[in-house]
Amino acid sequence: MSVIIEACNLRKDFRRQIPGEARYGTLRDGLANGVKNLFTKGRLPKREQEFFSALKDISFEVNQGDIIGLIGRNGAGKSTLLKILSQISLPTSGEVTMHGRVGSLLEVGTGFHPELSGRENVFMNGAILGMSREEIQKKFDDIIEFSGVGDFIDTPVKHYSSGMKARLAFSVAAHLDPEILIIDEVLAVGDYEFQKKCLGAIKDVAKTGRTILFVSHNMNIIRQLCNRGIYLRDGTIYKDSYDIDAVVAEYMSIESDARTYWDADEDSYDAKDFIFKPKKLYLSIDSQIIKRPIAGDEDVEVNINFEMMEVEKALSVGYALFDSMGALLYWTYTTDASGERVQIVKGKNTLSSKLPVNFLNDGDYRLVMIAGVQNDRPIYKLDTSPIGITISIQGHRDRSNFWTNRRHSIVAPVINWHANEEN
Amino acid sequence: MQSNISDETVENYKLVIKPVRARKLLDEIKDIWSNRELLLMFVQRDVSVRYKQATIGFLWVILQPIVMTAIFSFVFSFVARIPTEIPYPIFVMSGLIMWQYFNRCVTEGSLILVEQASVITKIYFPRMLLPLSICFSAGLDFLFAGFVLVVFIAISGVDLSLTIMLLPVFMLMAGLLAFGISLILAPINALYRDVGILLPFMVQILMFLSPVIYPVSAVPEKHQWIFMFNPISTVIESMRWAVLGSAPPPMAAYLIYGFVTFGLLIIGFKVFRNLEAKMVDRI
Repeated sequence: MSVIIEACNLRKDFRRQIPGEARYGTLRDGLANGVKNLFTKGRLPKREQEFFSALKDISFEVNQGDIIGLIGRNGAGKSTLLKILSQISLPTSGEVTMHGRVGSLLEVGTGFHPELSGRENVFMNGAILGMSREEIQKKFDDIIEFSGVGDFIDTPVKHYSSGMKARLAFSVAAHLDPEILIIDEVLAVGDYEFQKKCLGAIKDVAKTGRTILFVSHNMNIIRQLCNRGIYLRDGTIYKDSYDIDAVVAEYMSIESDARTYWDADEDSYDAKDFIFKPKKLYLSIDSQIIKRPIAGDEDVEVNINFEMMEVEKALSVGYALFDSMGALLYWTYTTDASGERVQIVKGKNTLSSKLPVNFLNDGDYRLVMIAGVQNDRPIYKLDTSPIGITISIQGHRDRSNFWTNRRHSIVAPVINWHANEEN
Repeated sequence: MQSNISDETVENYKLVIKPVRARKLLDEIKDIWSNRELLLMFVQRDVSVRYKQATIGFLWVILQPIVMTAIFSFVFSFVARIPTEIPYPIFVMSGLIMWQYFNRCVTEGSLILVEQASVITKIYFPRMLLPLSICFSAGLDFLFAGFVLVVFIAISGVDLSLTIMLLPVFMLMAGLLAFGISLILAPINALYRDVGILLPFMVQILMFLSPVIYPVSAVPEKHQWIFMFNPISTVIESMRWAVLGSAPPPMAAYLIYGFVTFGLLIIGFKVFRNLEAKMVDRI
């Protein structure tokens, strides 16, 4: 495997944007500053706080055939890096050596003009992306076919729906032929059907041995598509590994600011009830405490740790689950199921239950601990309980390519279908 | 859909991205040449968009110089009475057509980087193609308008001169001069937007300093040499020489034109190259 991109101490500084000030100055100010500098003979030091570094001396190598998922929060430096690799922006210091032509797709439909027809725009966009006229001519029918725009190809693009525009634009890009393909969050457009087609196209490209750098906030797509993850954080490479799941998991655990772990000591929480003293509420996988967002297919346990001052046979402990809009999905108690009752002893107890797998939708949920003594008193009611954590569900490995976005439903189980043979 | 790539392609190709684009003038010209298809696309887009947008489209290209001619003719041959050897409408039209071409190249060429900001921040191609494409698309209009002029000359009974064959050469001269200027102004305008506001005003002054609507002979003879140092004047006088067979500018004027244009192009390439990257980050 040969190295196709070598980046060495790449740094990019930007002038800090002063709120309310336009990004471009005026010639008047420029000249005034120039004259001022002339008189002070450049003695005025450049104020350092005027600059910030979008990339802080990063180095990495990309091997031919790598399909890299570039992840990080907004402002982490992903777009800056892609712009440097695409030659759009130059680094402040450091250098990159590319051993292959780059085709970059930082936006679908760059150069599309609303007055021009679909056909004219295909040629325009193709030319901007670096295809020759002959090349576009040769692939024209494929491009039209892939886009599904069909009969509207000679209609001005201003009459297209945004979906059609995106499909046509992506079709041009999908027929690019460079050794290195750079794609920035462009799959967010179009319908599911087309997104699936695009993903398929990218996978096809990947199979030909081309190198792909891919930015997306959709961790599902990243996990499906990429074989290597680079996690950028504040302009530095925080993690770079061929174990894409590990990079994604690390990213999700770090960037999630919702609280996924509750500890009475940390909160200096003083329980009011005299026999039931909750201590911890947390999630775990394989007995390991986890604080990161979870995928819908992971086996996660909900754990409630508490202390009993004396034995209370009629005690029920459980939790209630709310979605991000505050709707109650379900609640459950240790006394739900028939059969042997869960034993609660004097002193420390930890009760665990499995979170339903393949059930929750993508998004944040609030899990609240509830408790009460049957026929006596409620201790923590589901609408007032102060003890809770946030569960973030992101992605599901069993979902197909058709399913890329969050569904507009409360729950989202992956349900298997089969054709019935008796027709 | 795609062919498999071999290790060979990877090994043969090498591109180093550094903080400064270390490029020579020759590289720049090679770059433009190797991207001539894209240049053609820009020109095509510019032309077809213009003709599609305006309902009268193509007609406008012909009407504009005629209307301008009518206005200037009214003001200067009926009101102010400027003496010209040839009928004033034809005299002024020939000057205006060339002036319009130069004006469009400079004005639109200087503004195009800002106008196309969404494209240049999303994809790399030699940005010089943008102001250059204007010189070509405006050139097409120039040729159409030139044709109308020839028809007018024929109608008015003034003899057409054979020197008309030189018309494209003089257009090229005006185009190169304008390209040199827009190479300097375009990136500066992207960094400092007030250039775009000042520009129409400066261009207007330039027009009155050049013999567009008045003949050189309207200026006292002992001061006429000044026009020699104005390359725009040289181009416009050449235009009149080409279509009307009037006296050509002196050889010295061409030398000065060549010197100024070459200088502007060299400076333009340098300024453009130096500001290009800075501009993309701030546009």
